Amino acid sequence: MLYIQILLNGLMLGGLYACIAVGFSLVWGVLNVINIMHGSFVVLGSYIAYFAYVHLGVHPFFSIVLSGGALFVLGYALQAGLINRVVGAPVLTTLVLTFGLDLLLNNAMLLAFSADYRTVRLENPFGSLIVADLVIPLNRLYGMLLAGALTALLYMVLVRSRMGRAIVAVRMDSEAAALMGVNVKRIFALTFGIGALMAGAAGSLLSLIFPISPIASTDFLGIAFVVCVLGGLGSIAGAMVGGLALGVIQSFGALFIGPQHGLTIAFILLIILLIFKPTGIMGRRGYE
Amino acid sequence: MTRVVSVLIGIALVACLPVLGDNYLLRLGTMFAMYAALALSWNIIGGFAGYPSFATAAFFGLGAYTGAILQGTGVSMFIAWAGAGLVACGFAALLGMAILHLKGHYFAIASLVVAEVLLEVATSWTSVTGGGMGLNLPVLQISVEAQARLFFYAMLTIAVLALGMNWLVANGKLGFALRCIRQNEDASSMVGIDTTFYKVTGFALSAVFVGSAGAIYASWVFYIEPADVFSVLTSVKPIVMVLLGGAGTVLGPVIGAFVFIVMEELVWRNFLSFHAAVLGLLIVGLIFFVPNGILGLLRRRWTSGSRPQSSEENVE
Amino acid sequence: MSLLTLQNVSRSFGGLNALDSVDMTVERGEIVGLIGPNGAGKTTLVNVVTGALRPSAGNILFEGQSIAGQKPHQIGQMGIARTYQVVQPFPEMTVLENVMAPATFAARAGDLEEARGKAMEALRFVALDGAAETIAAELTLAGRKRLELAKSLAMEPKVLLLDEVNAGLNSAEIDGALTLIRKIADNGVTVIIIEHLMKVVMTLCSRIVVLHHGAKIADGTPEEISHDEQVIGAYLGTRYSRGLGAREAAHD
Repeated sequence: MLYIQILLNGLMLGGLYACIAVGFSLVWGVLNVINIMHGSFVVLGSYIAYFAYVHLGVHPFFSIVLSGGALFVLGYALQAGLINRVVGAPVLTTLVLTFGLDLLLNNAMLLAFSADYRTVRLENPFGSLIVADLVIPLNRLYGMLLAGALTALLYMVLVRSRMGRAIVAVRMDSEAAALMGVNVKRIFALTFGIGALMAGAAGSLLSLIFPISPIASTDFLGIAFVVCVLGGLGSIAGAMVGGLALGVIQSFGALFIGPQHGLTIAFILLIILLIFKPTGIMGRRGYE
Repeated sequence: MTRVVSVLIGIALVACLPVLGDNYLLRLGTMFAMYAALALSWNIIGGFAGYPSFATAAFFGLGAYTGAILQGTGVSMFIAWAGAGLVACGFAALLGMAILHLKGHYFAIASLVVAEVLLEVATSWTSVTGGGMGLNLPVLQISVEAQARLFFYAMLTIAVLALGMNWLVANGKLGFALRCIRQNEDASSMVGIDTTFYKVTGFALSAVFVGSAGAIYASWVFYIEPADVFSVLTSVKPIVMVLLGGAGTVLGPVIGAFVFIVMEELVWRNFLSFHAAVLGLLIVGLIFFVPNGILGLLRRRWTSGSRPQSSEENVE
Repeated sequence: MSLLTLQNVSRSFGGLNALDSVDMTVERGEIVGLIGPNGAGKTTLVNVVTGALRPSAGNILFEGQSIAGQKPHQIGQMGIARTYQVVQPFPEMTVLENVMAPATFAARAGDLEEARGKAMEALRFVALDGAAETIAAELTLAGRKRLELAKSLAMEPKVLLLDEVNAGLNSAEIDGALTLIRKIADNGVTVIIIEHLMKVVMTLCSRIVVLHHGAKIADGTPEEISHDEQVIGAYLGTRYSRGLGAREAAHD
């Protein structure tokens, strides 16, 4: 019974992890840019949700629209204005650039919000569902379901909409896509914006579960990395599988060696994967 | 030859810094030497070989803790510093064999994450490393001025050794092999270059002086903790310095380290709460306006100004 | 003992058989042509021989020693060199430096001076010595092809595999390349040349091996190959090869 509880905890956590990572994976897969700001985007989304609740009474589950929208605009502007100029550049350049931008963003958040951890405390908390001997905290359950819904929505957009098809085409071969009439620059900006949107939305969902602070951005970034490498890069299915897998692995790991080592487990797993199977569970070849 | 002479004169001048009797300047000088050593070291794997390594923090922290632990067992400071360099070198060789087959982003992430893992290990292995509470080092029983001079010369020695190593690598077989690898790794294999051997060697060399610098740093500040010595900024700053000065050159890292520390000190004194943001701005500016570094800018100024372009230079 | 032997060499990618049980020998001093329609497996064969790919099955012997599974740089040092269909220079280095690399690492030149000497020799051989200080990226295509050749010669190879060395060259440049290749063979290097241009293959090669869908379908003199039914069938379709057989029978 204990193991089922741990498994459930892991799955709920994993669903959220997938949502954190899917935007990151998309940007990496399509633009071949690792966006170091991603963790900070998640945190910013959380802050938007927090302030929306505290000042406007908007429930974090609804403010995913707010955070998603705001982050989309930010992401699109950043990409179109700055990052687009270095899209073909060597890995070092794009990594250092997004690192520098993240320093700016993170410092700005620190100054604006201070490093103090905040949590969204709902007036009417959800409580927990108790089934058999299993405890299912409802905020986590709903968070995971919403995260899943969002991810599924993104999948539908990629598969059904014209813009989505263009994004996939650019991911497969940007030159060929350009020859087919796709405005690659705009697709890059859109994709980056969507990546930021998903991060912001994830942040909103997470605001109920994790404490919010600019310091947490590296944790979220680390999760995104591991999920991408674990699940396989550039695909939504990969992010889902990777996220769920990481959640479950961390849950069981916490049982055996303590919850404070969650991130370490993730990173050791990451290194082992990179050494032996960088393409991850789904095996899709990532871009170099 | 004249360049070698001017560099030697430069080193001699820097070595005279203690004469000024200003402890603040001496501290700056020590930091500059440390940054130069880190930047020069990174240049081997990142500049010559073109592999985007973020492992500098891992080597630095490993060196710091090795030095501190060795000193804790009563070993002399100098031996501890040398030992730290060797440990870092050995670790880098092993790590290199594990991750140097990766390219681009994957290599960068792997190298970045190693430092995080080491940080966690240092935080958890309390019996050996003092865990999150950090580790204290034995205090030196000499005057403050004497200490300042000692650590200045120690870091300067490491920096000069690193510079010498860069020069030897640049002009030797290893540097040739690494340059080929950077420009076309598959072709390098085909012309007889054992790419694994040269990459691992370059990676190991890029760790030696970083490890020693870490150990000297630990002795200098008397107290280290994981978040301090394994900080990701320790990996990023040397990269920025080398990009600033000119990657793949021998003097570029030194120039970049100098410019960087001047800017960092100005910002620390005037904008403490913004200093991360200012570093961020510096990086953005660097990427967009000085992509080939200062040496790249100067080179272009010299070649376009002094020599007329010969347009009939067409082969075949 | 043959210089190079392929024994039952296969190489597959997923479900695709790029090479299918290829048996082939190359004797010292030969110029062997390797032809076949696009996708026949010619470049894969070169990749397998030079160590860029491992064979999925089979063995490769060089001077009697098995070399399957060895790393490319080891095979390069043993005396097998190749050129690439899409040239692979070191773009930022000068022509001389480009050639000094194989001289240093494959031919094991003792020091910089020796390497420079060997490199200049190779450059003189391909008549590129005047461009020694040019940056490789600034050469024309013909120049880059010659650079590629010089690099492989600087390895002091016993076997040289040329992968479509004439692609993209005009008629005069091709004649120049042919003369060079003959000179190389005259100097004792065994040459295997992948080519699409029949004029080149027929005039240059003493023997031709034909691949189709990864398998060897013919192995003989140029005369024999040009009349081989299977070869004609592979290039033009079986209608032509059957038609040819009937016409030949009618002539006898």
